[in-house]
Amino acid sequence: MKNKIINIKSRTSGLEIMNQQLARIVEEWNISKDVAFAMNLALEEITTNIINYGYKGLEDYDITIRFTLERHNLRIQIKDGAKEFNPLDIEDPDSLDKPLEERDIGGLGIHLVKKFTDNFSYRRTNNKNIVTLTKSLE
Amino acid sequence: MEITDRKTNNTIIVELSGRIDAGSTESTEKYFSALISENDQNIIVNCENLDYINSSGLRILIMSLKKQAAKEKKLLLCNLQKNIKEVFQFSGFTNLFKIELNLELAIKLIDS
Repeated sequence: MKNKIINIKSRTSGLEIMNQQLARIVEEWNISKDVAFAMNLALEEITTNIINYGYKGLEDYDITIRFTLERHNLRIQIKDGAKEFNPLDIEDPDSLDKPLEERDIGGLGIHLVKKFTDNFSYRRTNNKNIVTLTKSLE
Repeated sequence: MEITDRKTNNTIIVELSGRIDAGSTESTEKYFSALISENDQNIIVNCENLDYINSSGLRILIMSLKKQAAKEKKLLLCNLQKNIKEVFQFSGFTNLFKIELNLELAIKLIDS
């Protein structure tokens, strides 16, 4: 099992650092292109939600991300100190089948996280929001 | 992220190369916004070298499609990589964008 923990600030430059770190981990841990793509997407959607909704766009808060390589999975845990916020409570966009002019173009991110991960869970511990994403390496 | 474009007689062909991620969303949005407001032509976006897109990137493409539709112009995507096709499928956007086109087919569709 391998672990790596990074801390980023709640702003775009933090997300850029996160993406660079993930790219490095993918290379070091020899993760497939498909798993890397899926987990990068899931991670960006979760952290973007934390910044926009949890921290309301304020830029100086912390997000801690722990990457774990298990025997069969890549696991990513995302921890923030914003108010209680369970991304799984966000409803799936209902407009997926509607014509263009009726569609709401927001609310897609969490739907994509569900589709691209094998497991997506939330818990609230010690005043922190903790999201865990898991993806099979195969 | 690198964006280049070239004009043919009635179409602008845009080539995206790299990633539409947190670091490039803003510049990509500005690019498409300016392209559509300054031009009145059909657009084909060649995604052959586009390696990654997030939901913000999808929103940019949908907004661009809406703006084009308002001007009765087309916006087509072509040469989507496998993972990016999945993003469109999982989002339910395959009724808005054809995801199996290559450049030649896209040009034919524009001309038809």
